[in-house]
Amino acid sequence: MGYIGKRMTRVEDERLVTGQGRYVSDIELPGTVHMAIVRSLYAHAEITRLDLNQAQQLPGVVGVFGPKELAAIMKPLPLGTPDPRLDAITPMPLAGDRVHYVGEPVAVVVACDRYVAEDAAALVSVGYRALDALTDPRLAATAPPLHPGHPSNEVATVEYRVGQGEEAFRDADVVVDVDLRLDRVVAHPMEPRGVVAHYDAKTEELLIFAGTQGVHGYRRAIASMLDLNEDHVRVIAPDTGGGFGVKNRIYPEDVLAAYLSCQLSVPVKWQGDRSEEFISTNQERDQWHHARIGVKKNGQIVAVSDEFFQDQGAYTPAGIIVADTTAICIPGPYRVPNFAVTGHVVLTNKVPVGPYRGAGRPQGTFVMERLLDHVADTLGMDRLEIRRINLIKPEELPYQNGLPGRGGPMTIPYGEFQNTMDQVATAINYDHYSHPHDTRGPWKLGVGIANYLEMSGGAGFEGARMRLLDDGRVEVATGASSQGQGHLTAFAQVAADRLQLPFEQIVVVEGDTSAIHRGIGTFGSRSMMMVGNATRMAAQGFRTKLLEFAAEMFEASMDDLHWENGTITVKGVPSRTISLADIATRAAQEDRALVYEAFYDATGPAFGMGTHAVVVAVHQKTFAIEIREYQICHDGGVVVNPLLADGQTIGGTVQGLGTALFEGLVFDATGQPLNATFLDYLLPAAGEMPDFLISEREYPEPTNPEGFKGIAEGGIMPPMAAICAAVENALREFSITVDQLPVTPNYLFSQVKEGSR
Amino acid sequence: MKPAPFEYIRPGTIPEALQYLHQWGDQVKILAGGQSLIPLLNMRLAEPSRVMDINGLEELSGVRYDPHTHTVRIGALTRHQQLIRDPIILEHLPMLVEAAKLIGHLAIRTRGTLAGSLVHADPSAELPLMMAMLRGVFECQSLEQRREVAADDFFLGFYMTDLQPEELVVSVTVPVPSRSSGYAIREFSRRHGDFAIAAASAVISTDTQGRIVQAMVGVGGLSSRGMACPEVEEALVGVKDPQGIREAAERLDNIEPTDDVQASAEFRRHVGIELLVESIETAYSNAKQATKEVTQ
Repeated sequence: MGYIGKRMTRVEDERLVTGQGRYVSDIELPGTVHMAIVRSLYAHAEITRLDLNQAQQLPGVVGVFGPKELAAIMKPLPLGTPDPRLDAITPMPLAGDRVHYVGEPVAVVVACDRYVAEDAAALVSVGYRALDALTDPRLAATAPPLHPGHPSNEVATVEYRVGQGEEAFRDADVVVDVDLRLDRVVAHPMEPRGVVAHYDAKTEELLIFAGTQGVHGYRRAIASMLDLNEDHVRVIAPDTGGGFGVKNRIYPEDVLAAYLSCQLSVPVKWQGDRSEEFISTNQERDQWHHARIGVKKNGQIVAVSDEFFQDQGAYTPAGIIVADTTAICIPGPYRVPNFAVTGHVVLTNKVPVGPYRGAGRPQGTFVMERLLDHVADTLGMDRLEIRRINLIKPEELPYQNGLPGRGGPMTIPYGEFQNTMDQVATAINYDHYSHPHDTRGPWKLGVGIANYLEMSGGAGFEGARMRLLDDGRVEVATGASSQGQGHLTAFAQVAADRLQLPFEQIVVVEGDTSAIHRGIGTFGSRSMMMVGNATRMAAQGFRTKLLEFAAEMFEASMDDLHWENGTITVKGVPSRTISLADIATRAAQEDRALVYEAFYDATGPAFGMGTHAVVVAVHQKTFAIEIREYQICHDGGVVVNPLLADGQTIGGTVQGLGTALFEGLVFDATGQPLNATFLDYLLPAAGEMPDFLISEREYPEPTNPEGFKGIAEGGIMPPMAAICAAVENALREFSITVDQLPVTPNYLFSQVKEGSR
Repeated sequence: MKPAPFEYIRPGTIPEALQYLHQWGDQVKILAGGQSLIPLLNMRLAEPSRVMDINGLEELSGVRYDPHTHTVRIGALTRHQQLIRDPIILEHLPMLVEAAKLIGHLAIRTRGTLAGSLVHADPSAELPLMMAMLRGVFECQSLEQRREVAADDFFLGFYMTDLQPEELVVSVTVPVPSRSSGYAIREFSRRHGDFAIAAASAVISTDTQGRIVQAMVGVGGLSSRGMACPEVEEALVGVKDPQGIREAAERLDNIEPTDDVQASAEFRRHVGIELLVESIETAYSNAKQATKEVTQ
């Protein structure tokens, strides 16, 4: 039918842009009570007193609860992605006798509405005895442990070694050391986290609405926290306004709402607000690197090493996936024969770290690309040339770089790396900008380029469950729900092609544990690879099932039937034709459900690749930074919908530019966040973003039947390195290095001043 | 992010509003455009027991030019977007149009009011800077008296003004600069619509030889308040070259800007002086052009 590859507009848009969307905050069940959280004002303190009395007496308050009142659920939240290297520490729904970050839940108020709940929360009296806060992981690693019973704040050490590791530096002609800093960023989906929990005492069923990235995992976690049978819990993810990884797991508020609904037998709602999003939702990046590269005189890489500190915040809710992914993503698309990395995952008194779009991929890319720029500068070699020399060549593929990649050895199947980079360099006029040119006027131009290798998906399974609806349409249900990705359109494109049905005949259903009994979710750029291939599998079985049914109806052999465009015909007898609607009617009469489901198991990650190039202008006096041009070449494997693929690439790139130029949550020495509002924490805004010019490569992924690759994280990987390179290039007359994110005018001013001293 | 309880009142006349202020004084917060107050309420950074909504007071709107005093009187409730579109402002105080365009985004400019911005007294905001530079006079009215306060006396420090709890700013009167003057405003912010890290503005008049005869200069974001810079203004008189302009602007070097997450004090001072130089240079060049046109 040719829907795969078609630039189709999204079927979900009309509803969403006309205000017909239904998000958690739109769900108001009869009798709902509202929850507000009393949060720690201190980054590190002992709680000496918790007085709920005054709050309880406020009219409209249903109840006020501390850890004593909620003893039944005072146990650690389930750990996401356990790892033998990790001494895991997950939070309890409420802090006990100590708080570990500003924003940690201390008590919870339930009231008739959110206004009264917040009034009451302000009346809860908490006594704190302040303790010294740990705000720098490099110092926290050897400081007294934050959590009693755990031997060290360094809860995990991630280590890999390829070839001769560090020892190989002795064979290098030139060795360059680089210190890099990526600041702490906040994901900020447009819709903050929220939950509505409704326990029905009569049916003993708990219904939860939450904007989660994985309803099945959410259900399992809630059931385990509440000691419920999973069959008694139904989780629905309604329309969800962005996830970016931080909505992938349950948080304390989810457990509190679910438990309190069970206790109170009324619907309990908590809608987090933007202030809470700043101090309660997992954050990311926040690493300090000391990296080193050794090369031969001709630019060939001999060895790369890196030691980094991951500021993990107060807990490890999602394991060490960020640090681990950082480590294995450093070599990227380059030939690095000897490699050594040590990542220290260290607890501090900040909001916990958990995956945010990229989850280590951007950090790894940043390290490698900065190393290449600096060593090229030291050699006096062009920054493109050193990349050309070290990029893996097509004839070396498939290439194993000696690192593990989600379950097996990392194997890069295909990619025309040099070719892609050169194409982007030509498109952006790299030679013109990188060499001395007209530099009159206050705006200095510079160009930066960065390559990336995008590892996507690679673990677990996902399903597609096909069901014939009464009107002859086909419902496709899956456990991987959308937070804005456009699944209802893209999955339907795959299903329509594989079932050879018109697109309009497909209805995609997602985000409901009742729609399909197993599922994992939407994260790690896995959904299209997983659901797409599951859909392919289900389509085969479902079609056979319908043909069998039709064969019964016709009293014909299946081999004699012809399936085309939603009708089944007995070959050579055009009068004997039935539609899927006819089949549905017949099946309904016979009370037979025509359903087929299939689960696709991952066979390892996919690898896409690409190049970003940017031209910036930096004002010589104010150090204002403007993006003048942005070119992207991106390999998305077989692209189902180029419109959505471009959206993913641009969205990721914009978020990457946020990390590059604007975002950074700043803390003082006591662990207080200093810019936890949108007034002072700057997200990238439309006015500062350039037009992105994207060209696509489509190298089909060989490890899955459809040839799909994940495409959601490529965009966010290279912008940081490209910006640093371009800014350095623009300010070449000052010979400064730009190795700290975000790159702000203030930072450039101090670098230039430092350099002139 | 929900406000604490408060009593809401919406008076229909100015006397009614003044009566309410007289009775409740500092318990009352005045709601005009709400662009600062509403976030403060929602974040519970302000918890007034009473909020008086003055949006119903039509007498607070309107822009009038007085040819005798050569001044423009601007009503307190004038929205920023109205400043941008008003023909009287455009003719007599075009620098206010340029300044208003730099305020936030369209939605903010559509709601935000002149007096709202002035009494909020954010040191980085455009309108306090402009009023300080242009020597605007604020009409402050209470039940018992009406007084006029010069802008420079009005802004006391971070979010602090001379306005008394029982007073309402009714209007601002701004002297119209000479027709042969030139003006410019420059500001530096990270993103379109953000509060300025530093801002500067200048209105310059020259003689036919191209010497500066009169200068009005103001800066924002560089101290605890938007302010005029008399020492720079004095130093500019007689100047006719870029060197003289820079030397005059560098009189600002003794200023003590704030150090915060957006910018260090050192960077603020650096950028402030650069913006000041740029705005004076542009205003000067515009003034020379205007003087030429007037004398022709």
